[in-house]
Amino acid sequence: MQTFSIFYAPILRIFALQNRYEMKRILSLILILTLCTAYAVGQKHTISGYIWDAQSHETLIGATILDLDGGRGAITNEYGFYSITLPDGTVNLRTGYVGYRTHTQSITLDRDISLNFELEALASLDEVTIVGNRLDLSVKGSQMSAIDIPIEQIKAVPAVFGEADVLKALQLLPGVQTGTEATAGIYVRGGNPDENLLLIDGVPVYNVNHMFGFFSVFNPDALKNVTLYKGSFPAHYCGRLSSVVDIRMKDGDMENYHGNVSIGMVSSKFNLEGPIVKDRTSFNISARRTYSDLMVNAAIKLNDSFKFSDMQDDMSMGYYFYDLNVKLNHKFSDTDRLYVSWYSGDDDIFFNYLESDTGSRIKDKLDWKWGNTVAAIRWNRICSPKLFMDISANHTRYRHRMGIGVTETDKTTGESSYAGLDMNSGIYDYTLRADMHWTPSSVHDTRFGAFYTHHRFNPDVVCVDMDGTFRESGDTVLDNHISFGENSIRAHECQFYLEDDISLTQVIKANTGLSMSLFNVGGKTFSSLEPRLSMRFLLSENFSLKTGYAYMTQYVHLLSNNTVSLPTDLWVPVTETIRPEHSHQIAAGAFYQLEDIADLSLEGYYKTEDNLLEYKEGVSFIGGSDDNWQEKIAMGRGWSYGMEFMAQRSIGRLNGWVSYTWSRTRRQFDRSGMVLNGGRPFDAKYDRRHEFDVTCNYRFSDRFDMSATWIYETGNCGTMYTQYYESDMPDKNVYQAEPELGYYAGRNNMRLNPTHRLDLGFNWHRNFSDRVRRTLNLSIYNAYNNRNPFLVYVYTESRYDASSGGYVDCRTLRQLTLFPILPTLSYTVSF
Amino acid sequence: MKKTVTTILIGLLACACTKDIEYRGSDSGPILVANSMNRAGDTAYLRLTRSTFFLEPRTAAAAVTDADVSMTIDGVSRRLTYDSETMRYADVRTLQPGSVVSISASHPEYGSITATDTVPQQIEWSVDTFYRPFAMNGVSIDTIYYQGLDVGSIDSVCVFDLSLLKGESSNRYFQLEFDPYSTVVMWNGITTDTIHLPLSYRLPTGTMIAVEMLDTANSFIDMMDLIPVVCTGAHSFTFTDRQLSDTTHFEFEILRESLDSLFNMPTVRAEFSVRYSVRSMSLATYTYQKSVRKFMNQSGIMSEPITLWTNIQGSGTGILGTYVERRDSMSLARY
Repeated sequence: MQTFSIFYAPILRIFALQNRYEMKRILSLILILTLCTAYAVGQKHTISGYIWDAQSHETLIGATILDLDGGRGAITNEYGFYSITLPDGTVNLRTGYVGYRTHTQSITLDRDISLNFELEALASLDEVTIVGNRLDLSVKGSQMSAIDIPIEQIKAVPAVFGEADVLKALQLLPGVQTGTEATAGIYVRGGNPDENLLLIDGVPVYNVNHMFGFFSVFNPDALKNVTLYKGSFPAHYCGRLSSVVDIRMKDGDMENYHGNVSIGMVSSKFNLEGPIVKDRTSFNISARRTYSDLMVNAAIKLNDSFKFSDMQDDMSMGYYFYDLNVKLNHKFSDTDRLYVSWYSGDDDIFFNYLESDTGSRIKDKLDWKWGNTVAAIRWNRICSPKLFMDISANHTRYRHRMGIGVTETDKTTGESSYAGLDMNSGIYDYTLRADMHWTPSSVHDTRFGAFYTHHRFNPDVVCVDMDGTFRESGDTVLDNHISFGENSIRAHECQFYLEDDISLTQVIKANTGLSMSLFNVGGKTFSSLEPRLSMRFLLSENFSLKTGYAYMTQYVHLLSNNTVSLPTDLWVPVTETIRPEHSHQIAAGAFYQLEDIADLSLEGYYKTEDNLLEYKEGVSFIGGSDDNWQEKIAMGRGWSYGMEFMAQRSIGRLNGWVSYTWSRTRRQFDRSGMVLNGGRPFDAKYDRRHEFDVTCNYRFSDRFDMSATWIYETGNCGTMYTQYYESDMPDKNVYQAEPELGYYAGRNNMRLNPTHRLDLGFNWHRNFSDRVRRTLNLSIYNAYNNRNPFLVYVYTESRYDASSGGYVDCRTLRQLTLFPILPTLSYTVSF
Repeated sequence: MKKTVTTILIGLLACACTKDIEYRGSDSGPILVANSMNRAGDTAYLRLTRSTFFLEPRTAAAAVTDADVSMTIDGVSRRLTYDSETMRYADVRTLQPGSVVSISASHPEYGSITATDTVPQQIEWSVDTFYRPFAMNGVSIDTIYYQGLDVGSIDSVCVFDLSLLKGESSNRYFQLEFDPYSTVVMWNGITTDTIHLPLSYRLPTGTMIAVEMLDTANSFIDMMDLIPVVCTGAHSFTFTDRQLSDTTHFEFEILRESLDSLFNMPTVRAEFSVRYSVRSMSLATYTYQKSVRKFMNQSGIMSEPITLWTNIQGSGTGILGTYVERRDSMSLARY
């Protein structure tokens, strides 16, 4: 009104004296028109809906929708839902997603609209698979220190034994380091493997290793999306210090049936998805199993030379692992959807031996099993065009069991006796969670929610059972059962969070968040308030600067051997003595989109961690926890800093990335009773100064493509006693010889040789029909057979010494390489 | 052609597995090692050696013979000279309970070291023995067989009861060394053979002493009160008076095998004895012992590395320790 009066006042004075009545009519008309115009210009409405794959109706995570005129945009959430509020009028929208053709559509916006988009996957020869960062993770997004990897890219990365692996692909990214060669553990920005939150459909998975860490539990055929956060964590993630790996399973094709069957040298797998009720209910099922045990047992049955003794009746032994992923997706209506996800996977080492003589039959049995089960039921509801709700109930459990038993049966009397030992441990979680996604305006993208988890920790429990009369000793033990170990520990955890992605100006965008967590165990409650912030300064369409800060708290720890992943690795909660771990991380970076060529990023970070755990000096990590496990642990602090560079090519026949990381990770344990290395700082075990990775895929034609990966990384650290000496002892009679004692200058004083390796993959495709396609894959791991270090040990042999006239022990430092050049073949039929 | 390719491939795979490498890392270089473990009543000494790089052949410890060494006992300092016969720097003075002893040594190549310790006081103890029939309860058959005994032949056990009387002062550190053995004279058909054998023994059900044990194989034996462990040969137990009640009893069930099962030869004579020592140690000696045991008990690569404790100050390591000891032996039943 003020503007109106200033503008129109001079005109009023001119007409005031001429015709007052006419003036009043004209003025009223002008006022009405002005108000109507003002009202029309301020009116906004919301467009919301889903973005899908046009063929499979699989929702697309991180797809973009952009108002071409106003420049406002939005991205889809984890369930493919978007919401964008724009001024009324004609709106030109463009939707896009990595690997898909963009779609442009004009609409007239005068009310809230529900609008779904279907995007076509790029399939022609010139439009090859595209990889690149999602909008929210790239130049224009406020999120930094995060990378999204398309599943097709993961499948293309050559891997050991030809088994495509999610975590092995993540190891090729900047800031993510490997432990020992070929193992699946990830060390993100100096953090330990237990500091990574690995989620499958939003549910944590505790033990992600098959075969002692050589493979992960994630079958890429069942997956849709993998996103890694290394820092600047959004507030809806909590519970771990160093990273979040958010993995989403495929929902299942709502329109057509399709799948694939693959046979490899180590495992076979299949995937099948399709509609149960078209456009209403779908399923996706994937399974994978190794079969070395089947081959070994077939050889045993066919070959008598495998017998241990003449009394042997039967024997079977072997090792295998399997994964099973199942997902159901039901659409009640346009606003309500239900998802049910299930994952189950186990490793099993077994040995069964049966022998008999004239008097008795004896059966020996060993069964060593470990694995995860993850289950989730989830309800999505579009409460309004601006409000999306996700409610879920889920369960995750990891359990480990080793059982050894001997059953002796008297052939004459039929009586049996049994002696056995069982070791059990595990962790069981039950969670209720609610997440709300609210877009109140085009400037704010808000999330808030809460969860409650009931944890049950089962530390090592050993049970000894004996029952019957034992022939050899003559002893009779009746139904004797002895248990050792701690009772279950129950804990309660909850989190409340609020985060907002705010477009402050065209240049400045910020993601602010606050997470509050509570953890109750043993009558004690720990709490933590965790602020999160990341900001983007868009200096041009292709260039931005970002910075971020995150404070994280972790209430569960993994007691683990750092060398290899063992199934006896044990998750334990915080206690009065073992406090929650905390970390602060700041990061800053520059992001540049070199148009049509590559996305470039350069990031630096500094991270501090407190209450880190290490085993105390001299402690053996065999045996996991016992009543005194807390006394085996030292608490200290750590800090790490580094710089990461990445160039990621998004288009063309040739795509992939090049990354380089320079980093340093240090630890210090100087608390009373928990001193390591004399309280002096030392390099962390997996401190690797340099890491360089090149990953590329090239599609020669529709029938042939190849991929290559070359890595170089500085060796990790280990502790070696470098000086030896003898010692006088008052009880020297007890020792067979004078004790020889070792001395080292400092912990992790030795560095292994650098690792470098070239992996190649070749795919030959052939279409048998419109629907059936076969692919022959040849993978060559370590193509130029470099001897990379797995571990180092001192080898001793006696040699004749002429000067002393006798034999002396001569020592050499020897490096063990686990995997030389390894070619593998696999055959896949897709339909 | 096939054979050639197969041979090459197998050769490639085999030789890809291990290779010798150079050590890449930090190393202190040879350090001065001081060993001075002094028993009260004996002349004091210091043995100086240098450490050996871990990849060097282990010949006899390289003695450092040209260091400048002095020892101070109760304030009186004396320069020590190297004795090539005993390979030590020996003093003529003896240490007594309560003496304060210090050493200092310097060498142009290895640097200087110093250390101080105080000789502890004597402790009082008594010993008693009695017999009771052998009971199998809780001892597994496999354990008995492992120790080489025929369970059917064990006829009795001998209980050795050592009582340590707690003194007025606290924070005292002790060690009990226990070595049961048999001396058997057997007739091989022509002459007699004298055989010395370590005896097996166990700590019976209910033993709750929180001590560490080191057996002749240098392996750690857990003191599980539910499952008695059978051991053979000399053992030592190191503990503090914080683990004692007014008196502490060590009951060792010594498994004395009947003679007919020994080597299937007629027995002429057999004697069963126990040698034992009770030591009162200084805190430095006790802490060093525990540190060495922890080091000896490591499970290779499955254990965390250990920084050995030392009371040597300066550019060296080792121990200046003191203890008071009483030794005795006891004869068990004679056949």
